[in-house]
Amino acid sequence: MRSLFRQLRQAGILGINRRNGDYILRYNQRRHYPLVDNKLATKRLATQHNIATPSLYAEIRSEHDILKLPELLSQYSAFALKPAHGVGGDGIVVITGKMHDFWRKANGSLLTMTELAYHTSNILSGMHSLGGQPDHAMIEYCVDIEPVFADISYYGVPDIRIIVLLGYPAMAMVRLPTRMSDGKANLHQGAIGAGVDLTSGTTLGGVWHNDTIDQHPDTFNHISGITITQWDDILTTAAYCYDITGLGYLGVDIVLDRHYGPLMLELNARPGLNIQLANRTGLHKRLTAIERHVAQLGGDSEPVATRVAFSKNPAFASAV
Amino acid sequence: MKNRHLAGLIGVLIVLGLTVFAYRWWYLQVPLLPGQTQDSWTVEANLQFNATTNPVSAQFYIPRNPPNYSLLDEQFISRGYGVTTALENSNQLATWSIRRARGQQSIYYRAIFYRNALNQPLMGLKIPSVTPAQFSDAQMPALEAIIAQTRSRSSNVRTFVTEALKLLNDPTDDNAKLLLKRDTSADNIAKTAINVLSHANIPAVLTYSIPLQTQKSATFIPGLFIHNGQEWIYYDPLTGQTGLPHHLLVWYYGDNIASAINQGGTQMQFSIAVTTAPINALELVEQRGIEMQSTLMQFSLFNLPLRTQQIYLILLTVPIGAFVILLLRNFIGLTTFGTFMPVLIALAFRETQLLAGIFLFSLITAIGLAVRFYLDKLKLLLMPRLTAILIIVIIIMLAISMLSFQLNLEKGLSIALFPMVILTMVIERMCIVWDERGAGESILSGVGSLIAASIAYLVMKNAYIEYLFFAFPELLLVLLGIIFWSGQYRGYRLTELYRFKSFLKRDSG
Repeated sequence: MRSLFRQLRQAGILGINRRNGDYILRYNQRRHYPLVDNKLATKRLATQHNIATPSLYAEIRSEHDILKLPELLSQYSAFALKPAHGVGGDGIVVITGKMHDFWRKANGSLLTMTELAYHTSNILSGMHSLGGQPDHAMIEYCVDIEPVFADISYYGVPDIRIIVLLGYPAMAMVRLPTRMSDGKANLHQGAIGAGVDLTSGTTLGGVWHNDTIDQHPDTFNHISGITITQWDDILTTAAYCYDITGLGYLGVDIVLDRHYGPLMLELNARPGLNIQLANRTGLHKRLTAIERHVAQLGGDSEPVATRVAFSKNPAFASAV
Repeated sequence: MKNRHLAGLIGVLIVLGLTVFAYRWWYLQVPLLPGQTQDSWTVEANLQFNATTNPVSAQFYIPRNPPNYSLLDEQFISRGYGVTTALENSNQLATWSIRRARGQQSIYYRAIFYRNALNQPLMGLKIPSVTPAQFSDAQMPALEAIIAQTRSRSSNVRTFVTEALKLLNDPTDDNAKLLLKRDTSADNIAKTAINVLSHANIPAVLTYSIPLQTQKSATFIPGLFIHNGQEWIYYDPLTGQTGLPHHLLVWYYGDNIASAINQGGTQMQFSIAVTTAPINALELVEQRGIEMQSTLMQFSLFNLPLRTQQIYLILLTVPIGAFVILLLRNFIGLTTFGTFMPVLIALAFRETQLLAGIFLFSLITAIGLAVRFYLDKLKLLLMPRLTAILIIVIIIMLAISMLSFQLNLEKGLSIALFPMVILTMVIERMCIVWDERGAGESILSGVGSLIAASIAYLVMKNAYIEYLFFAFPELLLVLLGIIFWSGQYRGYRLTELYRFKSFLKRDSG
């Protein structure tokens, strides 16, 4: 048993206890949490700092607002309905089209207006929010999938998750929706995670339910070797999110839109550990390398471009 | 720096907790195990006499601070007598008196003693001033010879007394024979020894003890207490062995007779009966706390009203349960619904017992889930839905209770103790997880909660652990220290071995 633990340690795997104790507790101050736990606040903050996000169509703050829902939605045919305090992608409904009185979900199934209103009401009552407190619902632009990813995702928008420590991108992966994940990009819901080479922005192999996978289970296209466009912009956005939130250990979710390029979707102060499986490498050794680098700077902070360059440097991205 | 601070805090908590624990266990002798008993001795002194003239007054010595034993309880029993106790020299003298009495009289003193392991020094025995005893002219040379011989063979008071007693007990020694006047009873040897020692300027006190063993009539055993300038040392006058044997209860000091009729009585008979009985060690502890005026004992939970005690007996197991959950979650990596929900379920298991508890919990959750899925179709708002589930949970509990009562299944009745609000939240959470993460994950968390609750229950209902934390609540400080320590654990959880198994080498996996 001890030798098994030692193997994990040697692989530089970050466990939950260490993530919570040495990274989240140390680098993320509680008072900064509301900025990322509330997607509306995150969006507001990002807009202030010229970080592109999907545009907000409407906020639903009360049961009374739900009555206006049909009118609000009449002008849109595609949108995403989300709880402002949602956890792990729960409660998100992506509508990609309208059919008579029905809304078509990303997976192709149809919803009536009543069902949509009921779901919104559930969001408001806090069913999907952290700790169950009353919540707001938000309706925003539904991301139009970038062609690069079209072949390797199934009804849904892949997103790019980047772990950022103290403003330095540490690890990245693409999360590809599958039929099983219901168009959602969360690994525990059945999405595929594919590691991304920080230097080039090229996808590595994927992982699906803890198993390594090289082909998308629904489209049969190869997952690896796909180069993500505008990779530098994506890394820069991710690195910059540290400066605007003050959260030292941060998960940045970015989507690539066909028209608008990289859009910052949400931030996460407690990013999960599956990214290690997707990259088939441990996160801990990269985090310690960044901490060592920051310690060498001794109090000075580097500009975003330098930090991105540090992470892109093969000495960091491949060797560690 | 921060780590040193935490390490200090942990150290202080654990040391403080263990110190108080050790003090109460070792010094106050709070028993470590529940239901531990200790032998106690009921000593009954009985004075019988015939009352002839009025008024009547009789007296006898009763033990006062006997070494190695503590008094648990004492009673003075007589018909119509007034009792006074007074200090006479180093002894406690009880005097019974009555204005009118006729015929056979019987007065009792009953006391319960228990052995304390403290080996406290002899208390309350005054050091007498030594005056050389009178010996006849014929005896003086013998005395001087004995003292000279003893002195040459000894180096200090302790060995002097041993040597003197050895000589006096030597049947071939003519000097000893002369001093003892052929009476070689322990009583006489002891008295003679005191007289001999007085010429060597050694303070000695005669003492009478009774052996604590079940008997109808105990005989007094004479002994010597010698003061060597620092402490009292007990000597057996016959063997010269030092140290008060553990079975001896010192009754009184001095060469008086234990009992006496002061006026109005004849045909006195004095006897002491001894019986033994096990008493609950906890009773002793309480008594001890009062006796030693220990503030720590006054803060014991045993001094609370019984109802409150019973509540705390259960409440104090909650930290243990929570600690078990902590281990399961942070070290093993078990997923459960809610942080401390399993502890509350475990508390309910106390009443239902484990198997029935698991069955009832699963039954309620299953029925509740079915109802919850149906409610989903009705499109109710959160609060009404939760309230509806709560009411349905209570209805299910009611139904199970009534059904099991009809079937004469006692266990089913205890379902009433399940925390229904918690059950409601479990059902709601399970349903949401079911919807969003799939049935597998939902059932996994449900089973995880049940496993955690079962383990917590098994630990919490353990009679030893329950008692230990009740008798020694300071152990909570130790637990707190351990929890602070475990808060620093940054290693992997056991389940992460599985989660990250792809990083493990094939050959050793």
